[in-house]
Amino acid sequence: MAFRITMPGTGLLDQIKGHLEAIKTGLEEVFASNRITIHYPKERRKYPERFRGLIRFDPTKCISCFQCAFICPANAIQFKLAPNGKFYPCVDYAKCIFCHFCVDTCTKGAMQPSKFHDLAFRSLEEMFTPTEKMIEKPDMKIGDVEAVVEFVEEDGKIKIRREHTLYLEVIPEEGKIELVRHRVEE
Amino acid sequence: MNLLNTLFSIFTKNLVSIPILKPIINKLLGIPVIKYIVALILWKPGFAILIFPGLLGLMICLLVIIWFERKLTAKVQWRYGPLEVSRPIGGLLQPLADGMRYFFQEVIIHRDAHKAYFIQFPILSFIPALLPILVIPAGAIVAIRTPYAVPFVVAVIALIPVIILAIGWATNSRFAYIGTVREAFMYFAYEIPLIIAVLAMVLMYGSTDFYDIVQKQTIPGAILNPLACLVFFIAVAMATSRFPFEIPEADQEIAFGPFVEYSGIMFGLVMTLAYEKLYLLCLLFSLLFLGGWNGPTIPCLGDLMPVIYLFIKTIALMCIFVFFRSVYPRIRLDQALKFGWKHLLSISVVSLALGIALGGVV
Repeated sequence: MAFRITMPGTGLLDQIKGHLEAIKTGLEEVFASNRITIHYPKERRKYPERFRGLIRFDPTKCISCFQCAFICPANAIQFKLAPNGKFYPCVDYAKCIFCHFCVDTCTKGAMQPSKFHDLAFRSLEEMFTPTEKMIEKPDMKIGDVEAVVEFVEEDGKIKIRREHTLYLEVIPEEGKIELVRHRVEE
Repeated sequence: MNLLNTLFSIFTKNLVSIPILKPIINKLLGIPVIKYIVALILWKPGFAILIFPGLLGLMICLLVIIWFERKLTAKVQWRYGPLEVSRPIGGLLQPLADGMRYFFQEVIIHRDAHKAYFIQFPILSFIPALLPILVIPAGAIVAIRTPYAVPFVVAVIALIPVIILAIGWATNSRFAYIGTVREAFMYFAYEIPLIIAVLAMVLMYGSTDFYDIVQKQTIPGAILNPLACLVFFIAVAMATSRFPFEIPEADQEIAFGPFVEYSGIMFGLVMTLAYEKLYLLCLLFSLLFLGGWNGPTIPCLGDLMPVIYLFIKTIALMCIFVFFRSVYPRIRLDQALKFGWKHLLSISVVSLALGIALGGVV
């Protein structure tokens, strides 16, 4: 959308025109306002399909191949010996940069993505998440959410669209999300 | 007791008559202790000072207009503005909550301040801000009826910038200094055209009594002398530092200018000063140019009807002035001074000539 900016005239009529245009624009916004604020705890944005949030882990699929720890660019994944004699990954969220390379590289799909992103920890030590906590579903109070919000473009204007729902999809269905490794397998 | 009864008889002789509320008022006037309070409030001068155009009207205007300004600006800028304090009514109680917060906040007096003056000027500022209310009438309701009402109001309102300059001097800080100098420059740029515009209207009506002025406005003054109306309108925007003339207290540049060092309730007092001035000047505007309390007669409201018309006109004007915050940028000081001295002054002189020419006709 290319347009040329011309210098506004300095004559009296041009100035009056400019004032009237400014007031007109203001009044238009007063009566047909296009508010794009999200009331955050009550409304959540509709996260994109491949949102990289908290990482979940399924120990039944894990073969302890250590690929996730190898690929991790931030060195955030450590392996620990579990009671059953196998090594399982633990993620240190103080280091994690949420690149989801580990999810991508996992050959058996034991690492799974989730859309949960608003994390809170009480201490730095707590950010080191052991395997047992990665297996659990992320703890989230979903009762607060009244609407899911997404931005759409209509007639060259950004508009906000609200879907009133109590259900917020945090954990995507397995196999629905296309990962890089799927392409490599092809 | 004798004194109370004498006062009560004085009050009841001059009560505001509201036919629709007459049974309730009569019932209240029969109750022993409450009758004195009701009589005081409904006594016409008492009503003028306490209800409208006095304290209650001013209070409502301040609370509503500060909320409205924030809300309207937010709406134009695609935001919501204050909302959380009272969600069902759109955050209307936010100014009240802010006032409470100011009350319990510490008032810091910095080392360089001229301490005594620093504390007393925000309180003294209420003298010029509240005195004009005494002579501004709303129909039959007036505290002091005087034929010199218009010059008195204009003269006392012109004292408010002097208080602001004094505040800037007492604050003794560099931002306050810049803001004070800006206020002084602006004062001369708008005050002369404003007074000339009022003079044009006064010469046109041939009277400085609000009753005569309102009575003569079968056609509103804004149509009779549009130039004076324009000059007065722009001068009010400059006088109360509304956008685009929000130069003395430009909070992004010099952090509220003369008021930069105030905190707590003292900041609350000086911040509302501009809004009080806006209220007074809007009252003056609606009396001089918009026909004051003229409007279609509703018999059941009695003396309350002019009050309602004047209040609606005033608050609508205030809404227009605060609307400019959302559409205009802040112009530079030299642009404002050039505009004030060159265009505004010349238009006001033309409007004065128009006023003198129309003087015999109206």
